[in-house]
Amino acid sequence: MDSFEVVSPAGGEAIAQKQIAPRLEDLNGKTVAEIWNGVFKGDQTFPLLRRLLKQKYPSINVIPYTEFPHIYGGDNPTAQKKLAKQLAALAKEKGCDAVISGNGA
Amino acid sequence: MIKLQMSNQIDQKTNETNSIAANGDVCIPISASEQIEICFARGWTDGLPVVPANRSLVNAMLDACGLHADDVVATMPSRKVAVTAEKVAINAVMAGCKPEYMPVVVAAVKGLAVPEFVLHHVASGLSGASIMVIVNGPIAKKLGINSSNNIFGPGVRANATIGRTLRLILLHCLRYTPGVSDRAVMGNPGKYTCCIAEHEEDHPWKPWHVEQGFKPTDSTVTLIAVTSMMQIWNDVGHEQLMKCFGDALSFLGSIAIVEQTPGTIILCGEHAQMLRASGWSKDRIREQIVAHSGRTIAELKRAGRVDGEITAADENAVHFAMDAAERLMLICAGSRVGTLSTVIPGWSMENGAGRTPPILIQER
Repeated sequence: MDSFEVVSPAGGEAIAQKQIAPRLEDLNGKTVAEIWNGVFKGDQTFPLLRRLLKQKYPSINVIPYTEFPHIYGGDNPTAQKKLAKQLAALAKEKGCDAVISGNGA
Repeated sequence: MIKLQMSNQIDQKTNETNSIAANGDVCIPISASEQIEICFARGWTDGLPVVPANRSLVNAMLDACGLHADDVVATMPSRKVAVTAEKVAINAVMAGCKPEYMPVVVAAVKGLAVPEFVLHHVASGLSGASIMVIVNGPIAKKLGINSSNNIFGPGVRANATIGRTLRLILLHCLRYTPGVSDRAVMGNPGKYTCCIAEHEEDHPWKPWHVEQGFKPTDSTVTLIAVTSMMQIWNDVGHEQLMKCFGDALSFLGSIAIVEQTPGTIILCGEHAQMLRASGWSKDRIREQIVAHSGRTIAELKRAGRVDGEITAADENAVHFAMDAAERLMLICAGSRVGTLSTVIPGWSMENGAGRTPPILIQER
């Protein structure tokens, strides 16, 4: 019988990843910032999220996206890192415990 | 019988679906067409049949470019993956490449990792860009990469398979899965394959890579992200041609016009000849084209591309499709006969992304 060997084209060498920050156990009494990059209709989804979060966590304090700069950083890793540092510093200054930064298609 | 020898590299897809023994081997009866079906079943495809890759074919690919299996060709922080030479070689086999194409493929994969190309936006974004591989230098002729008739069409193995390899790597190694991590609204057929060579013989100016500082004897690969491609017909004269090019770069629905993302023009043979006869320099041609790419702010507001009430001043204020004429890329390719060039406006609203510098192809 003939034999045929196939090798997999998938995957690659994983590169080092940082661990994510510990998650908050409860959002009550916590301050949460909305960070928006100006696209994907965040002006509609953030107010909705805000309302739902307040329903679920009555003592949550949400700082709306309007209090943070809308900066479109694209996907350039260097630009993203710079923006992330600026936004993290601003969130810290405003006393935030967490941020909502994902709003996409 | 078939012996399916799995690679020992990290393989999320096969880990999910694979019931192969711990030593990586399994024996099942199989024909040639069944081998292809196995690849389909595992998701190792762009939708077309692939060449099942065996170890000897992969080794021939690696030998052709002088790389070891575990050499890292490119690291992609946005996907948290490093693409090894082995994976490049396997995907090149599957796409149907000849081993001698490998140096071009390797240079193109390095291009994917150039930070200013912003691969993650190109490969995952709604605009659904294809990635065009432009080959310059002597290697194009050596490998028979088409630079002439039917430049974006089918029929030439080198063009078809080099471009296809890049897409297979995006699918298999970088996991840009359509509908999941590739969020294109429309996509475009160039996402199957898109590779051309510049026609450098009888070039009216310097070829692209030489203009960018390489020697004529160097061979390079340049990647650009492409969404819209428009054919421009004009057989009247170079001044009229400038207007047609400028108009195509600045169509009102262009995703690029507001942020002035730079475009590219692929000049056919007759247009290149027309421009040579004009005596204009490449710089002057670029300036003229961009000068004809203006839209008034009033036009942009009427089309909803700029917000706000139209003022009297808006009727005369002009916004150009590009902010710097020197960023307009001019490439000569396509048939020597016929006055049909291709305009590729900027691919997205991210000015500065979606284009690599020429990357040197390293041959053995």
